[in-house]
Amino acid sequence: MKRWSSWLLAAALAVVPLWAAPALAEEDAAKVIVHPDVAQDDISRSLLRGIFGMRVRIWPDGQPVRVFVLEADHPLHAQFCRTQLRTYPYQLEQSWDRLVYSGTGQRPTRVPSIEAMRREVATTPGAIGYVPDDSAPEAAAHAARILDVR
Amino acid sequence: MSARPLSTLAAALLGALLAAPAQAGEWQLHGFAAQGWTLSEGNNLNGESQNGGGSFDFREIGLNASWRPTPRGLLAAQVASVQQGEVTEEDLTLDYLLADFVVFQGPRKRVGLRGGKLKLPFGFYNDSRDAIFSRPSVLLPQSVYLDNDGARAFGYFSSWGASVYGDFYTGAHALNWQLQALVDSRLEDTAAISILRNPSRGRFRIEDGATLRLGDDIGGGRWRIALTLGTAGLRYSPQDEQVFDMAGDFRLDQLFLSAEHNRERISWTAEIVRRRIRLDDLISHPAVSSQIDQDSVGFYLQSVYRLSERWSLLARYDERQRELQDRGGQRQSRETGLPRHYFFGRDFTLGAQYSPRPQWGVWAEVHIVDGALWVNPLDNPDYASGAAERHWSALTLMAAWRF
Repeated sequence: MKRWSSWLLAAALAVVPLWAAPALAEEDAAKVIVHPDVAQDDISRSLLRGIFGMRVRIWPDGQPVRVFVLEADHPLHAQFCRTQLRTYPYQLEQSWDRLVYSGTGQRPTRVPSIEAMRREVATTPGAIGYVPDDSAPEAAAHAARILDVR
Repeated sequence: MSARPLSTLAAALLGALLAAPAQAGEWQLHGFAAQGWTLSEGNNLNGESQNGGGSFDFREIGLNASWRPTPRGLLAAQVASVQQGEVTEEDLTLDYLLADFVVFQGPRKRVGLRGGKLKLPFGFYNDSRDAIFSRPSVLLPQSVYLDNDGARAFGYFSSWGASVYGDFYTGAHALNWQLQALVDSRLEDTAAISILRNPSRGRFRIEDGATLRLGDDIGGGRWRIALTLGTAGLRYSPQDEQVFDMAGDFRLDQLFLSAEHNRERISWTAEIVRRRIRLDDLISHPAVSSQIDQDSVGFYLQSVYRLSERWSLLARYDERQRELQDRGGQRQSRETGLPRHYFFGRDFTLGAQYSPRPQWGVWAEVHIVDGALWVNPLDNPDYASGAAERHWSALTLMAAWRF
């Protein structure tokens, strides 16, 4: 009897939050940007997930991938995770933690602002990052390039 | 191959790692520090937790460094100081120290090699369990992760060896696999409690071992599933005046199934493990066999609900039976003279986590336990006499910081 009651309580606790889970909001896509010398015109979502999951360390042409992200609580970071990676920021954080605490990978480099993101990606060979949809990163010379996500 | 040439290699790698010039983005240094407090009723957990003030004997301090010397290479090491009651007392321990090389990288797949002291990839949490930031709760579900059985001393966290691993991306699937071989290594003095449930009864060493984990992250981790197989050959060498009067070899086989579903606010996780320990070639008498042989099953169901970016709640049911064919422990109780409840453990856990900043976290959880299977004999000196309580409970708090 005692056993059944704890099972029921566990089941109830597991199911109750279902009603509280809000639907995923539709937002404008963040754009993926890369350093001008990255020899890609577009990128598949699965490769993008591999890169931002820090599991892909080199580009198909052999140069090292350098991943830049905004702070975990930046609205654009959440938007990028949802619309381009189609995942949630907490999942990305957990996958980085798993790499760092098992010694099998590194975290991406954090940048403090969208301006810093644009500057770092434009000047670091092999860099990848993201910017808001409304920004025009190719207006300036030596700027980062936009990659379409297939 | 023994661990000695590997430690020399590892020391050389660590030297190279420390001597290398720092380059932004290629060098990383991270660390964590956590302090726990436990108050319990019935049995001790994480130290002498039944006295009025509770126990502060739960501390984890770790530091790790990693370096990419070439685009395809990675060197990484983590050292830690860990105290968890009498179960784990490590002033300085090497969690991992490895060299990793990507042999092949294409847009859809990767194959790589690793060597050194490697974390063991069992289930979802074993290879990143050292820091609370990559655990769902202060105490991992004990059906599967065995902290309180002395898993760290038993070499269950990490071991010297080599592995080959790979990823394969197709559509919504990110498949990953890891095949790891263990080399001969001596286990710590307290390893005996994991198997014999009794301290200081001889030495154990791992003679050979292999583990294979196959995983699939579907839809960017919306679903995660994994299958882990593991086998290890162990050797027991008695010390004087022991129950055993000869050396013995035995084998530990493990099968894990893991599944997780992640939504924005909620994650459900379930894992089940079956473990079989069998004596290979000890001229055994029944008393010995019943102490070592086991065919156990453990599983848990866990739900994490994220109230906000800072707050989350956890509910978990966790159960382990020492013998699948004797779930209530009646037969084992007859054979050993110990109470029935020494052969099962059911833990109902409710927890909360608060992270005011990503670098800071406070965890609190209540365990309501039926059964003494994973009560630790070192924290509970009267365990061997059959005096451990069947119904017991514990409150554990932990505060942690990382960089």
